[in-house]
Amino acid sequence: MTSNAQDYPRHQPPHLGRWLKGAVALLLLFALAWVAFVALQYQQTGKPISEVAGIKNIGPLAKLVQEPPRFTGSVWEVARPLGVAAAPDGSIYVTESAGDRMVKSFDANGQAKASIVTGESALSRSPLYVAVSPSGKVYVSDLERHAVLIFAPDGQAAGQVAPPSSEGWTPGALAFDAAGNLYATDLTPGQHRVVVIDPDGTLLLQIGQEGSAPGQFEFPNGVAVDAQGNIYVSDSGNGRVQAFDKSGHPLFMIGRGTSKGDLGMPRGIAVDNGRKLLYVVDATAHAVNVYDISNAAPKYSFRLGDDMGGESLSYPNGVAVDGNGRILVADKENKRIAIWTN
Amino acid sequence: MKATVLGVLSGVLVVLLAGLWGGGAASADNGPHMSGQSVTTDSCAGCHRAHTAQAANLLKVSETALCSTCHDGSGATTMVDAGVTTGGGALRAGGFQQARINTQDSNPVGVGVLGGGQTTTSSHSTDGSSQELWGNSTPGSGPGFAGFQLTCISCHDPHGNGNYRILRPAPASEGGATDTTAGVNVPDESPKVYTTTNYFDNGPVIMSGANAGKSWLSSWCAQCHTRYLAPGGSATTALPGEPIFKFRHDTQEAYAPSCVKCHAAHGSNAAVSGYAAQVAWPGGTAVTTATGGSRLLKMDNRGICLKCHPR
Ligand code: HEC
Ligand code: HEC
Ligand code: HEC
Ligand code: HEC
Ligand code: HEC
Ligand code: HEC
Repeated sequence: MTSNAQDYPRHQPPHLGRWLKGAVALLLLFALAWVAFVALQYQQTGKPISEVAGIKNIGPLAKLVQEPPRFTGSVWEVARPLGVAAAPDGSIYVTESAGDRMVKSFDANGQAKASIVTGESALSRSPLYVAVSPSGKVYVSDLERHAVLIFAPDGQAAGQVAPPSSEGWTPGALAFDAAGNLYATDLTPGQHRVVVIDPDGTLLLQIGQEGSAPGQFEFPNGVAVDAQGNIYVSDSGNGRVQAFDKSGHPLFMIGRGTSKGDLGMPRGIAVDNGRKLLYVVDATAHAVNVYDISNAAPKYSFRLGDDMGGESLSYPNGVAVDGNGRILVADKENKRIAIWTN
Repeated sequence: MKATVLGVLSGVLVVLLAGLWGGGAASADNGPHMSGQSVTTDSCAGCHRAHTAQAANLLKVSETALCSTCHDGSGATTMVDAGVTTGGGALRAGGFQQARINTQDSNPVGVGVLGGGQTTTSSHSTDGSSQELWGNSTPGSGPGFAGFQLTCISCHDPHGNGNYRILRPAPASEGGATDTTAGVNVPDESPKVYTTTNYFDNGPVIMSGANAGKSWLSSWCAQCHTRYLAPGGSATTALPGEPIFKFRHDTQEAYAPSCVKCHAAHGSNAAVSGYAAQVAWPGGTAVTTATGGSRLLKMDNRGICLKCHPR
């Protein structure tokens, strides 16, 4: 930032004093005018200056690493869906946050199958997120039940995951690695964190606590794990994605901001291991940001949503990548699952 | 050099913006609703993006959708539709879709909470649809202000303002609706407690001075429902020039109930039947929906009256 400043002499010769005062005054005037201009633009358009039409965006154009996927259709009849997951056989599971609050299930072609329910009535359940284990079991976190409930693919209840603390927990986002270890975010007030639990229910790893410092979380609403065991967490309240290696050491962060590739309110997160891509839903940008993670530093690549093929999303929340190169997006306020295909 | 100047300028910009939207006072409004010194331009990006940056032009319904993104429990502890916190406590305001008010509580001085949620029978609208704003505008001008579009943002300031529940001081600025005064700044409580175990409560109360003991929320609700603010003696003295809200229950005095002692601010699960379900709207319009008579009341039928006027 300030490296150029060293090129200037530290003490100005005395005869430059008047000139300098003039220059400083002019500069201040300029600064004031610019601030007023930016503030006015914001007041009128509500847009940051870089996004106001007619003002050139000087940032480099994002290079496409490959053909982006095409929008290929929607699965409807889901009430304000929050989470979406794909099973190894291509089945789709969706958590509803309104209406009957069920976990809707569909086959790979979008035909409805038997729904899963996490509590007796719509008043006593509040499914949040869903993930499918390598063996095809369906795991659902429920806010009302304060539990991760386990179901057979046909909806038969099959118990629940033992809480990682004896005082209980408030599980949120869920993901599995190939070995069947469960990655979950814990939204318990005062102790937001990420936990990794093995198939026997043993707590393998715990990352972070509630807060805004690096390594801490505010309402983490997404977790994903890649083939190497690296862990990606949507730190929604802090507006960033934090990546960790398999032992929980920090790798990188994708921060909050208004430039291309920056995040606002990251929610669902998913990895395409084959293409080495990271999908991050940005709920308030109404889009899914896609980053190339083939190198140590993530690179913003393209985006699904507002500027892609005219397919617009409204407060999207969840994302999943299935085995057939399809990207499923829980498009909450449009009440559908939007599907892109590679 | 250029970078330094830009850095300084954006610093100035942050301070200016924070000053403009923050109202100055350093306060903890919680969550992303931060007025005061902790505001950075980056924290704006949580809500203002390429799309939502046009919030002013967006449909009203999507403002409420923004709030529910977090207030469904996934980004905040208060779940306003369900009327509960993620920890299981019942919210003071009731709820928009479900509430946990024990609307049959026989305790003479209490309205307790239920263990589980019940579907609400009445609630303030949040979808921006056109509604009759009951009792707004001057006496004699009809039952209210027609076509008011209510959302979360009509009542709450998303940017935080240091007030109780970030309530806007002057909520009724929309489309010509009138408010009574320059605005009511309800002072915040500390520590903040969003839950209650007894709904029969006046809410924050004026602590000292000539108005000591009076409820802040009565004056605040009356920023929209102007003609419901009734000083002592309103039960026996008619409001001049007023055919509709003529004799009113005192709501303004320290000894009288506050609006929120009888009504839940968001919504209630009270059941109404018989005569109570048929009480017409001000001006005489009949109640059409089966549940339309519950009027955000905290007890079934007119059970709320019996708390203070036992038979
Ligand atoms: C919790 C979400 C949220 C955050 C965080 C937020 N805003 Fe807003 N903002 C809104 C909403 C919703 C509206 C539209 C409603 C309104 O007009 O008040 C809005 C409107 C605005 C407007 C135009 C209307 C007005 O108030 O005059 C401006 C300017 C603005 N915001 C600036 C900012 C700045 C600067 C920040 C960061 C310091 C910020 N906002 C942070 C939600 C947010
Ligand atoms: C990014 C998430 C987020 C969004 C979006 C959001 N809130 Fe909040 N809000 C919070 C959190 C976190 C709190 C702290 C209390 C809690 O945990 O519920 C809070 C607190 C509040 C409070 C209590 C303030 C106080 O005085 O303590 C109100 C009222 C509120 N929000 C209204 C709104 C409204 C209206 C909107 C939509 C414009 C909105 N919120 C959008 C996260 C959010
Ligand atoms: C008609 C005005 C009004 C509207 C509309 C409204 N609120 Fe409120 N809200 C209030 C009042 C008043 C309180 C304080 C209630 C009390 O203390 O009894 C409150 C309290 C809250 C609280 C604190 C928890 C609680 O229940 O006390 C949150 C969070 C909140 N509101 C969020 C929202 C959101 C989100 C929306 C839109 C979905 C919304 N409000 C719509 C008036 C309103
Ligand atoms: C003593 C209990 C009580 C208090 C205090 C009270 N109300 Fe009501 N309110 C009622 C009842 C009961 C109804 C149902 C209509 C009826 O019976 O007249 C009602 C109805 C309403 C309605 C719906 C329109 C109508 O008249 O039917 C509004 C709006 C309203 N009240 C606003 C307020 C406001 C604002 C305050 C505070 C200034 C307030 N109320 C204080 C008991 C109360
Ligand atoms: C921003 C303006 C605004 C404020 C502030 C406000 N209201 Fe309302 N209120 C409305 C509107 C508009 C309606 C019309 C019905 C609706 O929202 O669907 C209404 C309706 C009502 C009703 C009738 C509900 C029904 O449909 O059965 C009651 C009772 C009521 N308000 C009480 C209150 C109380 C108590 C407060 C303070 C906590 C309050 N209001 C604050 C705008 C407001
Ligand atoms: C929180 C306690 C409380 C509740 C609840 C309450 N009242 Fe009252 N009521 C009072 C008080 C106190 C007075 C005396 C007011 C005065 O003298 O100005 C009063 C006065 C009255 C009066 C006038 C009596 C007179 O001669 O001045 C009537 C009528 C009345 N109430 C009816 C009702 C009805 C109907 C309800 C239910 C909608 C109700 N009250 C709920 C406390 C309450």
